[in-house]
Amino acid sequence: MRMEDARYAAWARALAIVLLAIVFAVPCAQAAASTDGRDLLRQMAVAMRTLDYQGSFSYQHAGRLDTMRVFHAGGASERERLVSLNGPRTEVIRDGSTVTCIRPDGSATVYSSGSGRGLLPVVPGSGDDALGAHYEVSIIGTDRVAGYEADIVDIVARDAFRYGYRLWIDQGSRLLLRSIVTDSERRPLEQLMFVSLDIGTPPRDTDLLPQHHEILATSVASDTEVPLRRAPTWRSAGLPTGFAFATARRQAKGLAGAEHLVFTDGLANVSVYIEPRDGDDAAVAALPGRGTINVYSVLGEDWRITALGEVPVRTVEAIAQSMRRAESSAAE
Amino acid sequence: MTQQNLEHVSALMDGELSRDETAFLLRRAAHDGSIAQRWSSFHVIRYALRRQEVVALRGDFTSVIMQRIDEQDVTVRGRDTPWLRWASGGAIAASVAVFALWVTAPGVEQSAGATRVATSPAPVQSDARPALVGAGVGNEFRPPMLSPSLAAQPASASSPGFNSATQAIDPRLQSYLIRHYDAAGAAGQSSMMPYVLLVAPQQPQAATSAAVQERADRR
Repeated sequence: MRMEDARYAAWARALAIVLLAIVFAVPCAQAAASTDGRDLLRQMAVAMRTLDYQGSFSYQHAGRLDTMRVFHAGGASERERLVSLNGPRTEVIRDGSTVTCIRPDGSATVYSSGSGRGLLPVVPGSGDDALGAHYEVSIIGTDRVAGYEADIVDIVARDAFRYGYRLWIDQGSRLLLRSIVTDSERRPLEQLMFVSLDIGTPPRDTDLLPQHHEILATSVASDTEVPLRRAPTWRSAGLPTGFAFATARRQAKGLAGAEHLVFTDGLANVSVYIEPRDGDDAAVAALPGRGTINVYSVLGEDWRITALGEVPVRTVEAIAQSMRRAESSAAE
Repeated sequence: MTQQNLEHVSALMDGELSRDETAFLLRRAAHDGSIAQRWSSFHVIRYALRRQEVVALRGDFTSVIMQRIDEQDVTVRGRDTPWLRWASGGAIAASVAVFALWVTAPGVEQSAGATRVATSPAPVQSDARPALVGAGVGNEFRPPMLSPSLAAQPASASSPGFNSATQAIDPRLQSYLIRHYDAAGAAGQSSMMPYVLLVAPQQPQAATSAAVQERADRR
């Protein structure tokens, strides 16, 4: 009997160890998969900035299918050019910290950029905790896009205040090959997909220059912004779940109280522009969104509050409605 | 086919052949199948150059029609009044035209079971001839202005999505977007579609698909 008891006890211990291993292994494997997905996103962000590439892609949005071409020279001095291949000819050229928008009529506007960000989609290299709190990131398979083998990363929003994404990332270079933006019901809203892509070949200098031979006029944007060195005059009385204040700017030559605040959930960003009311009130209030960018304006007694971001309408509406003048500022 | 006939076919394509020369060429074509073949080839080339769909009729176009007509039950009524005779002639022409389009649909092979035509027999006058069929000739001619592709594919028939007007981005929205991208990027954040939206054409006053979808959901 004692031998049998000892044998049963050994079996029971072994069974318990196996069960414990299973219980702990499953979450660990899920965490590893999630981390892998975020790692891929980080690697993609680096690749989009540092690599040389040029290619054509289709952009499906709002019932349209458009094609564009991008030239990108990576490295310390990042240069790139994005040009539409159908419809009115429009170009955006970035040379370091300068962004030039060339409109179909040949006029150009030059913006001074402080962020040095790219023209094509990239995802944040930081804020992973916030990303994981409001999105579920996982690798769901492989596919082939523009001749390249790709890993598919699925980013599912955990609520209706943000969009979801599905990204196809090249297994070799980690460049983004295709992306789909989805709503909270996982219905596709817009899609970008490379149809041809040359990775590693630096574009020629002429490819990075505007192709509009007759630029009618070039103007420098007057609404240059500088970082706000003090606490913002405005604050949100109740942000949608997951969003937090990220940064604040003001116009270099703007009125006191005119500010540009940015809120983020780690992936999606919303800008809030607080501007003095003027003759543009009606025009700004009627601004349509563009792609997955939504715009919502609120008119106060003296100020116009405009929220804009790549989030659902309910999110920009909630943020715009929540903006209040800080008490200390209001007392001044 | 002689060089002269070739030049005449080309001139007829361009609508530059005189009435007498056209009549002469048609008589020659009645006995020379290569003329009709060259005529069809010229049309195919024209459609290809214009990037139109090629609607090529079969070489035995007219003979098939005549065979179908012969298979119909023909009733000759010699005591018809003149107005009835004219009306019946028009009905014949219309029915033969519909019949011809049906029989010679491009890319559709006639099956063995389809030799009988299921149209109701129309009263046929023995001396009636369809206007576009040349006197029992086994070939087919079309005046240049009756190009089937031109008739079937007007320019306005393309997809309205691609053909619709577009408008440039509002300067205010452009400024907002660029400052938005710049501020978020400086804060270490990013967007999924920066600047692509600035370049993409936009339909006038079109609400975004995302906004439309969301408003529909909220209703």
